[in-house]
Amino acid sequence: MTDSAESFLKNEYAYGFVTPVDSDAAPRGLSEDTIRFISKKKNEPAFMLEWRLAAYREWLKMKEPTWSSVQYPKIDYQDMIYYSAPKNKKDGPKSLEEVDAEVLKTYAKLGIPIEEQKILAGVAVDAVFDSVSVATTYKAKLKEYGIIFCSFSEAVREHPDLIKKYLGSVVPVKDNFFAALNSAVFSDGSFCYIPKGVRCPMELSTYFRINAMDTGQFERTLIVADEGAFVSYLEGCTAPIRDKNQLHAAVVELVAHEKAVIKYSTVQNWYSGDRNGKGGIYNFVTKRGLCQGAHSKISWTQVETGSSITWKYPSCILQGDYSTGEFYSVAVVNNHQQADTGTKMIHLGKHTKSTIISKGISARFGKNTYRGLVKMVPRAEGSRNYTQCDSLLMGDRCSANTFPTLEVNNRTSRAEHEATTSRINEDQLFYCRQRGMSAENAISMIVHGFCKEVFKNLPMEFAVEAQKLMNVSLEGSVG
Amino acid sequence: MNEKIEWYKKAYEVLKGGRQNEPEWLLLLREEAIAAFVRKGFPTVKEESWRYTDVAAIAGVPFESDETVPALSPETLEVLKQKGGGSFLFVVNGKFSRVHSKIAEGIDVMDIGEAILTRPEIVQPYLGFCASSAGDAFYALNTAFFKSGLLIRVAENITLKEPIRAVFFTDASKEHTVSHPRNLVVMGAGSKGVLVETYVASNGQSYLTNSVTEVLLEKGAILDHAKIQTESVAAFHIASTHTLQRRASAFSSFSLSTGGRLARNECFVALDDGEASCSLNGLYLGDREQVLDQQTFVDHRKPDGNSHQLFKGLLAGNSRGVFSGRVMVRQDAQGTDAHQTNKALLLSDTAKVDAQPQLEILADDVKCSHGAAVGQLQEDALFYLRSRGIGEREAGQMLAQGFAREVIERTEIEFLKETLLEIVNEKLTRQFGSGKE
Repeated sequence: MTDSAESFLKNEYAYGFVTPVDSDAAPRGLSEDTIRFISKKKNEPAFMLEWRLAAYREWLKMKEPTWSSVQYPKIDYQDMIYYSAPKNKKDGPKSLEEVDAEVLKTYAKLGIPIEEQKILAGVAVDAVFDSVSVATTYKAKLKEYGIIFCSFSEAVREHPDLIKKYLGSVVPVKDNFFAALNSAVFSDGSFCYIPKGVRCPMELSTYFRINAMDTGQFERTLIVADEGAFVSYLEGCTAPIRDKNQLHAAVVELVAHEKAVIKYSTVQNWYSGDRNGKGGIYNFVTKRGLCQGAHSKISWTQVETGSSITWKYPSCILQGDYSTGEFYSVAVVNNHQQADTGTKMIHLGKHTKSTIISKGISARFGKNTYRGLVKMVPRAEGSRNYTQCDSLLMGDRCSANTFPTLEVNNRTSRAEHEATTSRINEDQLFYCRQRGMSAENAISMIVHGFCKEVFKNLPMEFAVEAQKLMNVSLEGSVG
Repeated sequence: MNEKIEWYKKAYEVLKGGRQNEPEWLLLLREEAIAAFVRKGFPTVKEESWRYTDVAAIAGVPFESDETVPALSPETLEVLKQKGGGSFLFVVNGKFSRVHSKIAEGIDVMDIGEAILTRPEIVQPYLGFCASSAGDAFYALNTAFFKSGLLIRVAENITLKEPIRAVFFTDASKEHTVSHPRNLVVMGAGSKGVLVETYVASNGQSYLTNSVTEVLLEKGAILDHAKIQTESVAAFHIASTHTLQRRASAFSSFSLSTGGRLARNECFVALDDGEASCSLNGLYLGDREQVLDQQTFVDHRKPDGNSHQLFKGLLAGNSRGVFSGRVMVRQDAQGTDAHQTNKALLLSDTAKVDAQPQLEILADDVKCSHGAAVGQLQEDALFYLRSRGIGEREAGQMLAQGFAREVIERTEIEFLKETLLEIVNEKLTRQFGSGKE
């Protein structure tokens, strides 16, 4: 590693700050009482409390999984606070003016001034600050189209029928340890319903932010696109510097009915720990989409640069005939970060298609793992899959693993997997240097080229952010 | 402990009584092995490396060793000897039969059981030395139970002019018999040789072959290895080859798997010193209810090694083809070049293919890739042939043959190619001729 490269590395996390806000937190630890407390705090109907308790009882029976490549100290689930909300003076803010000034400042520091976004970006933001939604914009406009876009708690109160119908229908309570935990204690999140034949006029977006000390954040997102609907959803996040690791176990469920399209994009830039691997977020997420109807499509795009540990597999269940699943991912690990990510494409319907493009970049002591499954059942005739996983290594102490699995159970389907692992091509580097580019610029350019296939699937504003993030995350890691 | 495991434990205790003359170190090795087996039992589909291969059928029946050496007709022997000169080593029901064998000059062959008693000093340093799967149930069973097998040594700087052919023959006239052949191949520095292992049986009852072969390649040694598995349709075949390579040695292997009701072929290679290279190739052809499982693990431990793997499968009937290939490049193994390809064709609606290529890279100055593809015979290629008046089945068979030939061409062992093609054709004719294509 050259010296210039070394200096490139020392980029500090730019979003590290703590906003002092009064929190209304649950007592430490997890029990049925904690769950009742959360449910009561959120004024939930009885069915929701029952659902949570059932999930909690299932969770008690489950063991924390150990099969992944990530390593972390044992989590004490009794030493966590499961609920914290910024104190509301009354029933919650009715307009931006009523929103906590400190909160607004936080957003300003993050470069997402809500007011400006309202005018400029045309993006409706359901901002989640810790666990309760504090500001929602563009609601009226969406209402015209009949689109429901609100916080999860609101949806539980206002649209219990939809919640009852879809909650847990894609990720069942018993699905896995972290999903069960989330089901029991989820604090808030976003709910979105696009009615039949409606094309959502704007990109929907939620900014997540973990704030209060020791608060595990358990988001729950549910997006339902009815027949022929289209929605593009953005999820992006940053978090302030903390010394103790914070657990984040979110669940995202997507349901696409006949001919519906859901595009879900994530830019994840949570605090990844310092150069020595101290601190950082544990990001253990269950994301899954169900292509329920024929000709439906779900597309996941993710840029993972943050978190000390990322452990997630956004997946598609291709149930409807001719449905399509896509997964585009860039995962960057630097310093002591670990990422175990990938996807599952379960082909159940006939003539279903899936595409997987995964790009992993490991630098310094980073550990990157792609783990994926492509399964075609006997009924899924004429199905097709293409998978490409490439890894780029920077530095002799990092690692890259690739663990794909192909299961093909009928003779009319095809699945292909290709993977390569190498370090930055010396010739490319030489070519750029020889034309007067600095080593850093050359590396940055090559890395962008490496990730291009994924970035081009991001919505405009995210693509710009992602490029910037890549520079910050990787600067100085190559020589 | 379930009763079947109890049964093996008892059988072990009985054997132990007759093993007083075995050296201490071996008894210790065996004790550890049986303890490991009792602790873990047979693998289940819950274990990652056995996810697609269910050995419940093996675990459910106690398999007993059969000591008797059957009377063999000279014709049978002639068939088994096949063509070509060189050494011919005959192992029947897991026991090395010197009378049926022919040993050429330049190699040193002994029964491993005998060698342990008479010349333990040449066995002790190597036995269990190359093995990388000590925790595996079948490996443990072999270590605990083996009595015989081949010890092959090729001295330094010797180049063998003729191939060594070893035939492992099972006479399956009794039901539920098992053989645990244990082989050890030590190639001295700078030596060069060819070894072909063939597993066959006289048709009959269900039996289990549980073989372990350890190969050590000293500095600069070259070994071309082939393993041909054409066991009977009622057979269970579990075989592992463990190779340890020293500096600049080269190992090439080809495995053909067509027989057995359930066959698992494991190939572990550790490139333990710099500039070593290996090439692993395999072909598996399944039909009926066969389960054919290929496992490879190439461990790049030191710099500048290279490995190439090509495995292809053709699956018809209700068969299942499994390929799991793991490549590990450790931190010290800079300058490694590792490539792996797995391709499988499904020839029927009910056949299944599972592929798990795995790359674990801990060094950065490497070039590694793997690819896996599952598909079927190409529509337009079939159409092309049919438009020229070739029948559907014949066309399919031609294409399948071409698919298989690519791997066969990879083997360095020229004289074997024809035999391999014959075996493949015979199997394909059955698949395409039976109307169940």
